[in-house]
Amino acid sequence: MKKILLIGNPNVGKSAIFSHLTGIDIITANYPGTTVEFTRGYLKSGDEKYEVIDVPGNYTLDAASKAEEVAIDLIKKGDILVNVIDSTNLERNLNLTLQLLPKKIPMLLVLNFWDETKHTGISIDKKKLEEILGVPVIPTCAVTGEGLRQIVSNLNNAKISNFSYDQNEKWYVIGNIIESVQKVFHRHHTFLEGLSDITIKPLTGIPAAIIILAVTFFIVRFIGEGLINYVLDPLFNNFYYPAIISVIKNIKPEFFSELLLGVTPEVMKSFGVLTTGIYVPFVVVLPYIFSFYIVLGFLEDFGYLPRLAVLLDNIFHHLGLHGYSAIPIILGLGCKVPAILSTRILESKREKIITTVLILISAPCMPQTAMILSLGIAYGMKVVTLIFFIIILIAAITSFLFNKIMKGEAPELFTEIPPYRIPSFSVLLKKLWIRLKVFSKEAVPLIIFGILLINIFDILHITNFLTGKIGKPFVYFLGLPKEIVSVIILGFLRKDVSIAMLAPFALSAKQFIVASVFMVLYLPCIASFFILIKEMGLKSALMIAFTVFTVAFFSGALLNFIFTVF
Amino acid sequence: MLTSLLNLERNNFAKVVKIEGGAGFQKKLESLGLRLGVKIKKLSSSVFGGPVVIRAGRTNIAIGKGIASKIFVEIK
Repeated sequence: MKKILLIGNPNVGKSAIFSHLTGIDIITANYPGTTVEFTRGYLKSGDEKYEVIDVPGNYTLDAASKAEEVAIDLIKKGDILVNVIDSTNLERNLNLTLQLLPKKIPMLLVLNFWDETKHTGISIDKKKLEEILGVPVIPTCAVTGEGLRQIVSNLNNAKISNFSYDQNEKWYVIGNIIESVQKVFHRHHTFLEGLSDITIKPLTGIPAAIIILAVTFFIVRFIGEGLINYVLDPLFNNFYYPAIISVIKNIKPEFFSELLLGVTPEVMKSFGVLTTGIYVPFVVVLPYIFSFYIVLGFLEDFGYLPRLAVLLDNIFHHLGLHGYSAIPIILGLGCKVPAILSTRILESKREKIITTVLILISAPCMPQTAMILSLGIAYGMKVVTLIFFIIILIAAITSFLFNKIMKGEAPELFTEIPPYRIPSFSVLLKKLWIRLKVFSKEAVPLIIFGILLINIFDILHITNFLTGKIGKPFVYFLGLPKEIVSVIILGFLRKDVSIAMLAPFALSAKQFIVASVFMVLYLPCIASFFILIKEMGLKSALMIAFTVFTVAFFSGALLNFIFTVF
Repeated sequence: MLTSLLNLERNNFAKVVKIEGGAGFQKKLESLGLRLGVKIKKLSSSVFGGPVVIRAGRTNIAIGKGIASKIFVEIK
C-alpha cells in the first residue's frame, strides 16, 4: 500500500485535509501545534488503497527539534508527499517546499487557504508555479472542502521534481519564484486585522482579554445551567426516574435493586448505577462539557488562544515558563488528558513538567467544575468562587516554588500568531461532536463503574473497614468525616465522581471548601495519570503525583487550620 | 540608525541588519522568516517585560524580550 504524507508548516490546515481525505475525525484549530502526534488513516481511490499520514507541522527540516526529526524519519518512508502550504504566506512556506523537492519523492503541492488570497490582495499564477517547480499545484480550501477532490484525482500525477538550486542562494531563489508567480495588490486593513491589533497590544489587549474571559464564563454557565434546569433535570425527574423505579423496584434479590437504584431515594445520595450513575454524567456533567467546548472550539478556530499566550507571557515568565504554556492550561479547563498531550509544543523537559503541574492543579477539569458548581451552589456562589480562587492561589505559589527549585532558564517566547479567521459552523459542530463522543465513550463508563464500586463497597461494608484503618490523619488534619477515605480511594477513577461522593456527608460550608480544594488537587485521575506516564516516564509521573498530593494535603490542612482559628 | 527590535518604536518599519547568536539561533529565527535583510514592522512593544510583536513578510511573530534584544534593525 502506498504511503501518502501530508506535510507542511504548522497551522496550514493539514489536519483538516486529512479529515476530509480519510473520514477520520481529528481535532483542528487555528494555532500552530494542534497536531502533536502523527495520525494515520486510509483513503480509497478507484482500485487503489492508500495510507495517509498527518505529519505534525514543521517550518524546516533542519532536525533541530523533536518534531522535525519525526518528520524527517517519516519522509524516508513516504511514497507520495502532499506538501500543504498557506497561499497567503508563500515565502515562508516555500522554504520547506524547497527542502522537500530534493528528496526525490513524487510530490503534490497544495495551496490551501486559496479563498483567503482574494481578500488579502494576493494573486498567484498557479500554472507558472507548476512550471517552475515541476510538480502539480492544487488550490484548495480545506474548511469548505473545495479542491480536495483534485488532490485525490491527482495522486497518480505526483511528480519527482528536477528543480535544483544552490542551497546558499535559497532565499534569493524563493524571492525570484515569488516575483514571477505572485502579484500583491494594495488594499485596506480588514476588520479582522484591526481586531487582531487591538487584542495583541497590551493597552487594549488586557481589557479585551478580561472581557473575553468573563463572557466565556458567562456563556458556559448560561448554557450549562440552562440545559440542566430547563431540559435535563426535568426530563430525568419527570420521565426517566419514575419509569426506572417502577421497572426495577421489585427485582429480587434486594441486593440487585440496591445496586441499580441505591438505598436512599435521593438521586445524588443513592449511588445507584441507574440513578446517580446516569444523573452525574448526563444531567450534571454533560451540559458543562457541551457548553465549555462550544466556546473553546470557537476561540480555538477564531485564533484567539495565541494572542492570550502573548498577553500572559510576562506573568508566566515569573513561573519559569513562557506564554505559550497558557494554551495547554486552557485546554486543561476542559480535560487534563489532551492538555497534557499538548505540552509537546513546549521545548524543554523542565517547561513540560512545570506546565503539567500547573495543568493539574491550577483548575479542576470541566466535569469536576460542574460537580463543584452543582453541589457548591447550595452553600452560595461566594463559596464556589472562593474554592476557585484558593486553587489558583495554590497553583501560583506551587509553580513559583517549582521554578525556584528546578534550575534552568525561563525560555523565551518565539511564535507565530496566526491571523483571525471566521470559524466554519460545520467544522465547529464536528469538533464539538468529536469531543462529546470521547466523553461518552471514555468518561461515562468510568463514572458509572466508579459509582457501582462505591455502592458495592458500601453494601459490603468495605468502606467502614478502610475508614477505620486510615481515616485518622484526614479527620485530624483536614477536619473531614472519616468516610472521606473512600472518596480519596475511589475518586482516583474519576474526579467528578469524587466530588459527587461528597453529597451524602452533609458537610458544612468550610468542610466543603477544604474537601473540594483537596479533591481537585490531590491526584490526577486515572486517565491523566496514564498519559503522564506515557509522556514523561514513570519516574517523573510519580514525582508529579507525589508533589501534587503533598501540596493538596498541606493546603487542605492549612485551610482547615485557618478556618478553625478564625 | 541601528537599534534593537526591543527598542524600536511601535509602528516603525525597519530592516534586519544584525542577529547576535549562533547558527542554531539564526536557524530558529529564519524558520519564521526572520533573517538578515528582511523588512519588518513593529506592531506592539514590550510592556512590563512582555514580548514584542512584529510583522515579517506576511507572518505576525511574538518575540520574547531577550530574543528581541539580540536582533538589530535599521530604520529607513
